[in-house]
Amino acid sequence: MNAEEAKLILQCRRANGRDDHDAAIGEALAVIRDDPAATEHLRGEESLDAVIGERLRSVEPPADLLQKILVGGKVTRPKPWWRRPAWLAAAAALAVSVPLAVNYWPGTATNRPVFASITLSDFRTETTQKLNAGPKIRPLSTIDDVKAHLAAHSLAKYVPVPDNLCHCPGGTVGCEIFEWRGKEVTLICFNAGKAGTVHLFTVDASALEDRPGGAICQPTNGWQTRAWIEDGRLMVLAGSEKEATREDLEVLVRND
Amino acid sequence: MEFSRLVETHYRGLYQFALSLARSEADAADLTQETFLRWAEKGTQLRDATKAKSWLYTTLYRLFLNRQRHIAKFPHDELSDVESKLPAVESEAVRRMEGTEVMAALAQIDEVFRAPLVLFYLEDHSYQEIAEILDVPAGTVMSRLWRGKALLRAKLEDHAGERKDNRIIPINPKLRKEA
Repeated sequence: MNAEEAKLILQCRRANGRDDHDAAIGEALAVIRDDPAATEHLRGEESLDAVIGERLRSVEPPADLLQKILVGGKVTRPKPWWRRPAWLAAAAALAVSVPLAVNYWPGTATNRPVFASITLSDFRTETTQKLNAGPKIRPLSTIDDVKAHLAAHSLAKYVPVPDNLCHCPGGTVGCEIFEWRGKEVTLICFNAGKAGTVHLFTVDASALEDRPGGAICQPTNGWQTRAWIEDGRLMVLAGSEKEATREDLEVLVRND
Repeated sequence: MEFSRLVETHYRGLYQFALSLARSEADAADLTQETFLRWAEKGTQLRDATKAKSWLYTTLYRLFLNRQRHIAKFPHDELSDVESKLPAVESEAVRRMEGTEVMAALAQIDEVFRAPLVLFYLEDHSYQEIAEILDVPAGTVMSRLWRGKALLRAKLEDHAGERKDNRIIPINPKLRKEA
């Protein structure tokens, strides 16, 4: 290797010397070691590279990018395979043909609806039953970790968690994503101090038959619950009747 | 590594890499987000956690190429083909520039040279790692870095010249008449 070849190789060397263990770079360094002109040239090159690198690394990402990545507020999120046009077309064809076939099949005509809608009452009853049965919570101790988990695994673009719940001094207990009547439900559990562990269920409210005008508080299956709609999602917050009062839940859902 | 920590560690570098490739802030943000989405879907299958950084950069680059439908194979340059002198540009002139100006100069260079250059300047990757990310031989990375640096310096010189020109205060037409 001559000095010119060594210069070519050394322009791949990072200024912090992290590449000096590399065989080619080590050999090139040895070649120019006794060549003052080449050493001086290398210093000049490294100095310029350091300035260019520092300038490029100073470019800041958009202020909201980190949060968007963590909460999954992605605009062009790739569609799952079942939402792609070919599958949608097939599903649409099935949606039309299956009811027709059922109606015209001898002896099987039915008036049952093909697609199930949901009611607030059913949602509240069955989510609190799930709590009594013991949900399968993924343990996560901070709201940021919960958001990251939802961003990675939930189809929901945004889960509007009230500020006071986000700032629960005891943090979060964990979360779960499960399917209920063909819809994805998110469950986030918070450690709410004196009010005990409280559980926030959310589901897309677009298929809801009985949209509540305002918040509805109602004890159900041993749980004090508060239900409301926010940003297109039906929200149900539940705390044990032994620990959480209706007022506790009211405070926890505030956005202060 | 927890997802949030992984994001916080790498999203800046990935965004800067994406910005140099896509040349649009919105596209760069989108590429960065999509890369982490891919990680959430598939990256956790990666057995060696130390490979996460390379995986993220490789994935972002592939996403960019897919978007560009950039399927043409570029010839692999040999180290001996390249010229041996880089054009001179003053460090001080570059130091006076904003990061976005340097990024704008970089954006004018062909993507073949731009990708290895920005990975080199982010200082997070050795030339061997850059070769892995871009899926080209190490010798090709060396020659592309050399040529890319030459092209970037020429663009930076142009930018530095424009800055000097901009510093000349134009004569107010009214004052000109009076004079």
